[in-house]
Amino acid sequence: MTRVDRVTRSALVIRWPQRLALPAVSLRVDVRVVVVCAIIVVATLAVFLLALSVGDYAIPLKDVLATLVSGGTPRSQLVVGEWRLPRALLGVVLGVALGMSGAVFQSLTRNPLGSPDIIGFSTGAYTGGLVVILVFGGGYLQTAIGAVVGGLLTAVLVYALAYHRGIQGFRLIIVGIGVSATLASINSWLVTRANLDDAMQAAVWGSGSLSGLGYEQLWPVLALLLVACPILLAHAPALRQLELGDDTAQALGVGAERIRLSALLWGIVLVAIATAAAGPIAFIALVAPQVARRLTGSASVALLPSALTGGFLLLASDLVAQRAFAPTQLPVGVMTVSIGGVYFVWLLLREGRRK
Amino acid sequence: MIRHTPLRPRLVAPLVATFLLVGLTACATDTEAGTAATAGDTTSTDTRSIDTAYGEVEVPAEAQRVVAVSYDTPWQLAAVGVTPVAMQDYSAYAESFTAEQQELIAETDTVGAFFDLNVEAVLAAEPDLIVGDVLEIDEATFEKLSKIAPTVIFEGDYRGDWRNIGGSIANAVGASGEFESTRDSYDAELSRLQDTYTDVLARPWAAIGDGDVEGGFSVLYPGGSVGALFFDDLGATLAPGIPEQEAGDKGWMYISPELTTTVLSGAEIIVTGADPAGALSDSLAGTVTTPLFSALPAAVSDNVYGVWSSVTDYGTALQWLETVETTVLIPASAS
Amino acid sequence: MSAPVRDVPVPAHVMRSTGTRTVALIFAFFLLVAALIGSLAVGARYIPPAEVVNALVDALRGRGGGEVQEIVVGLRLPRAFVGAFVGAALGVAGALIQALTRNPLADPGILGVNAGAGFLVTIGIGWFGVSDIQGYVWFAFLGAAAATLLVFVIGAAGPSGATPVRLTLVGVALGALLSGVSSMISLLNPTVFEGMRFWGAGTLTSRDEHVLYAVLPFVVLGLVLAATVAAPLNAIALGEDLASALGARVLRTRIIVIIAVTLLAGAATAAAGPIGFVGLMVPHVVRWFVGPDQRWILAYTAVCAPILLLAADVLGRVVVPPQEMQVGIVTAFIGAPVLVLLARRRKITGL
Repeated sequence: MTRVDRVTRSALVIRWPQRLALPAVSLRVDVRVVVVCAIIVVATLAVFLLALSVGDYAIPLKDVLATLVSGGTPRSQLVVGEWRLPRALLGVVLGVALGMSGAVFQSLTRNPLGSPDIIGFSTGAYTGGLVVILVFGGGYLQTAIGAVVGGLLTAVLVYALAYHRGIQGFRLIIVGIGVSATLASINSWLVTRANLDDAMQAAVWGSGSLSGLGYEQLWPVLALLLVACPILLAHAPALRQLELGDDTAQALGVGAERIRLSALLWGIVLVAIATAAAGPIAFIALVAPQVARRLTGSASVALLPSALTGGFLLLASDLVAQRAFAPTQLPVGVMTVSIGGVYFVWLLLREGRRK
Repeated sequence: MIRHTPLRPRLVAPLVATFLLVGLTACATDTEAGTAATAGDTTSTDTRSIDTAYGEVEVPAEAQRVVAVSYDTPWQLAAVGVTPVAMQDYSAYAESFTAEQQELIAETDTVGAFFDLNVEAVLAAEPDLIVGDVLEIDEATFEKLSKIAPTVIFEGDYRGDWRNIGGSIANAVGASGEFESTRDSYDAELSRLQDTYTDVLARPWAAIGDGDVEGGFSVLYPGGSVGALFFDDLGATLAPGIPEQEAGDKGWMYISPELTTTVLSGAEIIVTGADPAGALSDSLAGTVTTPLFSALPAAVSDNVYGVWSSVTDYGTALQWLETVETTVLIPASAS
Repeated sequence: MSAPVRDVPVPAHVMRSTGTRTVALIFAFFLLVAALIGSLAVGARYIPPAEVVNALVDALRGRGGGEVQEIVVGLRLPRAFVGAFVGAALGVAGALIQALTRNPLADPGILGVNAGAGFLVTIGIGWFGVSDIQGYVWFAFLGAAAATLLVFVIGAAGPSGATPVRLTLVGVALGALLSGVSSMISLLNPTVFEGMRFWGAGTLTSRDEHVLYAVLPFVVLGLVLAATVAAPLNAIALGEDLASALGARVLRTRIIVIIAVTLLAGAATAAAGPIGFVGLMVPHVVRWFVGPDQRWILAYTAVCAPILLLAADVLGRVVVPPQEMQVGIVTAFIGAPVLVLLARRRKITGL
């Protein structure tokens, strides 16, 4: 019989007894983390339903629910089922991928700045996409491939340049900033040589946009997410120990380098698939883990809350980006930077005041 | 060690803020819910089959509500007498359009911006025909739009090929006759100008546009969207001293201000871009007043002219010919 | 009997005596003059030094005009001087920030200066219709100054004060926020997009004497403040308690440094747009030769940073004729690999 014990004021231990040759599992769960995750999920759901019912073609909420459940009119099926539903789902799914990826990177580099945006992946993806758009005039698929190739090459370059008897977090970030800046200047150069129209198209893509995305983009992302998340969540306890420092981790018997490499690999896969689907969306990977950490009050980076926070942030940002200046739509990436930045600054301010 | 920082203030404020923000922007919608009319009902059952870039499409013989989803399309429709009920948002660039175009811009609903089509707004416009070109509408978007109304997307020989695309669009809305007659007028007028002003056109010309730095400029080449008008259609002679075009034929190239004299001193006539009122852009206005530019032979002999050259169809092309004659050819033959 | 205290071995490349340092500084100054002349001679059109001198002399005597004189005196001369002052401002600002935060890899750009300047420039273009560099200058200066101050104020409000990590975090957060809002405005307004597309790369082209006169007072004031604060910075490098014990007024020094950085970085970004890496690279290289004395570091940086910027500007003029590559792009091309090399060294030249 499953037993839930309250061992302290803030932690629960769930014991799942041995049954049918499955090993017994004992999970220690922090009440506060559970509460925070639940609240974020509820908030996400609310925003999700809102996203399904607003738009240039307004559909009342009850019609939305009717469509989801039993089909509705052909028109609402088109608008809700084919256009808004996949986009909202993608918003959540990509946000989850980015949030989790950011958490992994920040844990590995033991530095709040260690996110894929900062260490050059996003800028490299932007360069790859720009080259495809401005030099080869490619379409969606080619741009996606260009973005992933650019990002991966940059990640490899940064890793190789930062490697000196192992990876030290601070050095990785500095090298990433350096490579990022070189690529950013290449991007500036490419953009100034293009037509104004091309440049604006590239700018829209480069900010990360969910506009026009549908089920064809959703399924691959979802599939990869369903593989990567359990793996990373399983790594979570080990990652927390690694954050204490390599020596402590080694002493505790965790195969440090192997786990680190696996987590890094899956982290890159998550951010690569997100960039391939929607272009480089900035700042979710950086901000979501920080916000989640402060909300759950945990001392180290928490994977699941980060992922859920990322999902909520991206979904909300996309909704605001679509509606704030309707019918002109802004790319979601512009919104994530602004909103995420505001909240980040606010948090830093609050942290300051509590001296 | 887990710090017992209070959870509630950290969550409440941002959550409230988020919901306020989201709620406010959501309530900014002011379109009503879709009416009962569905796109599938056509009042007339007459249809024609049109060959488009994405295959054959059945279009209504007489479309009543046409929506333009690409950048040049509204003008190509207007040139053959069809007023679109919705088009892209040009309000940010309004000054670069003629007075008639600005009227159309002001009174028409919008469906998003360049490369940023808002499909829901297209649906809300209740079209019975959707028109565009391949530059902005790829196959996936075409499929989406087809579910709203018959969608015809056309392709030219090169990007921005208004001659071919304009012709295909005219055919799709059943106005081929009008298209051809405008085209014939254009060709006739072009021949007249070439015969009347042979001398002027034989002198060395240069066409310049905005540069990337203050005091700089770009040279426009034959084959480019503006260069084709001056050098290929009209037949002006390209001045010596203009550097070879680099690979890729964009049709233009930036020049450093230091090379102003080297590149442009061979030109007796210089034409620059301008808005419909004849005013130069801020960047070009600065460039033509720099000491190096003012010392050019063309500037000294007062042969620098600003010409509005945003041609998108044969209608605006005819207007362009008129502008060129009054602004450039007549004064130049007098000097 | 205790073992004798051994001196910490000084690496061979550090100049040890005041005499050597002075001579080398004079040599560097001559290099700067050579860079200035080079920047007058080399460009999209190469003009031999003899003709350069003739053109300068003619201009002094108020004689003649002609294409060569216009290029040399009208286009390149103000550009060279703006480049020299912008370079000095960026270099010294970087050296000051590195000394104050004891973070050897700090750069004004990281602290959000560029984002702040860019944000106000988009406001200027979008709301006030500003369209040329004379207009941009004031908006950019205000924005850069405001951003720097904001970063320092928020950073210092932290539980343990303005630590390098916190300052960088705040700089990144504020920088991202401002650049996000700037992007939003650019994407909604094509005029702003077009203007920012070119200002945003950092360029010295068409910087004439009006720009120079506009920013010169701030740069000079900033350099003077930096000179006054060099000695106390040496003491602070030993640690703040020790510094106080030695009589250096820590808080006052901090405030003066922040004001100086704001003036210098703000004026530089206002004049030339966002240019990165100069403030990062030059103090490092200078420290390599000169050792840890801030007075020499600041003096050498003020002379060597302009050499770097002018060289980058000349390079940008010759690599892609007949166009020019903006100087901000060239410094990033040069600077980023240098940064990476620096980060890889086992012992980063500490402060």
